[in-house]
Amino acid sequence: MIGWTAAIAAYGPFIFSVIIGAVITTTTNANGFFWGLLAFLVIATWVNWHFYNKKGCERPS
Amino acid sequence: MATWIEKWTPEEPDFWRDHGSRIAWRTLTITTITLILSFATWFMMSAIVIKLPGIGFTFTTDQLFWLAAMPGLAGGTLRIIHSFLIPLYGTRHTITISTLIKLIPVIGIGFAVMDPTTPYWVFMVLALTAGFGGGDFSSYMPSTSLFFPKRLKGTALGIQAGIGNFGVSLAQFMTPALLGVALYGAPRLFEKFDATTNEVVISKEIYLQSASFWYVPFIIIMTFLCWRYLKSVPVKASIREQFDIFKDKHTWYCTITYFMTFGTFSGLAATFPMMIKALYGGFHGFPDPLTFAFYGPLIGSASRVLFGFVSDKTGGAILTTITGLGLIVCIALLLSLGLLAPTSLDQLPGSSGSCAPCSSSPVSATRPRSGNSRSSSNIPSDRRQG
Repeated sequence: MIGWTAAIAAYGPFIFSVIIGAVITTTTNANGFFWGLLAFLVIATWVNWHFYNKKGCERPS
Repeated sequence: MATWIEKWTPEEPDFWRDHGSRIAWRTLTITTITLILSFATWFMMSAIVIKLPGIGFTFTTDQLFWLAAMPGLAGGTLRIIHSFLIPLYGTRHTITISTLIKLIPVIGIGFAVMDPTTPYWVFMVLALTAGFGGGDFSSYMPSTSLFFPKRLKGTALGIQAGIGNFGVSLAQFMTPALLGVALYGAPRLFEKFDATTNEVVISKEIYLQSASFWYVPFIIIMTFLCWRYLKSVPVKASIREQFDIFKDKHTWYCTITYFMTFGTFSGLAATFPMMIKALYGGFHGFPDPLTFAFYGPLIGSASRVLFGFVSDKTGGAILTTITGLGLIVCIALLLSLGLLAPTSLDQLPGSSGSCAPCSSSPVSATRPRSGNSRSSSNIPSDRRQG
């Protein structure tokens, strides 16, 4: 599983560069990308807290 | 010299004390140094692209972002492939060859930047090969975990992943440091024009190729050491078992949380130099983004080592939550202060003041092995993520 998750996360430089590049060249600033990133981070943080962190969660670790 | 070790039983105290320990730590030392080279060559393009326009290349901003993106495309894809290599080919062959083939990007990019008529597609292909190093993590980690007894696996993997990651920072730190150093070939005139007055503000000769060629001797030395000193531990391949993970919903949740940590770290680290240049490069007196870009990955790598030790006590989940909240706060700050849509260079200190913290605090918050410890305790396999 680590092979898989690490592989997907390693697409980070590709995904970030392409989207940030496109956002900057079309809107002249990077706000659009970072609003999207913010939304993703909120969801991801919730997923982590809900399944692995909160009291009585599915898989505490 | 035999490639495969016939008997490998690290859990037996006698074996570990008499033979195993020495071989395992030697293997870890060599593979960790090569992993630094992996990460460094993976990110070298992110630092080199921002210098290309100054020495006569006429690529557009969008094209430069794509060049910085290509190693990421290759890295992610190669990680999937790398996760199958150790059972098939063993540590010695996998790591020796992975190290050797990095000569392709470091020699290729070195020559490419010396000639401003080099076509864009050649750069794209070379940028893909720079991603060779990005895949290594997914075979080095399982390789290392084969060598150590259970009680030391976490420590060994933490050392390898944490120290290996300093390579990202190394690539961005060494690039500006080497521009004045002649290693091979002629220098090129680097010129920068002020965006408003169109006057030449910087005009000096630089050796951009040095930022690529300097890896060559290290790669050759490490290839030799890998072939000479690494051995392979036989392991049963169970490819079907590897696919069973997709039946478990936690695979997908961990993919999300892992993208939040390593994905954001690597993504911002690769994009930061180009982004700063694109956002602030038009203002009068714009400094070299590489003089501060490396702080992000540096702090990130350091925090990763540190959080590794902390997570052994606290568990990984709480650290991942803190990481997520830290990222959210920093990015909200960047957005609300308007630093991503700057109107003057005065915002750059604010930006590097709150963006370097931001970009390193995503990063520093980002890099912890926190996700790892947690995920690995979920995972039947003994690998850790990085």
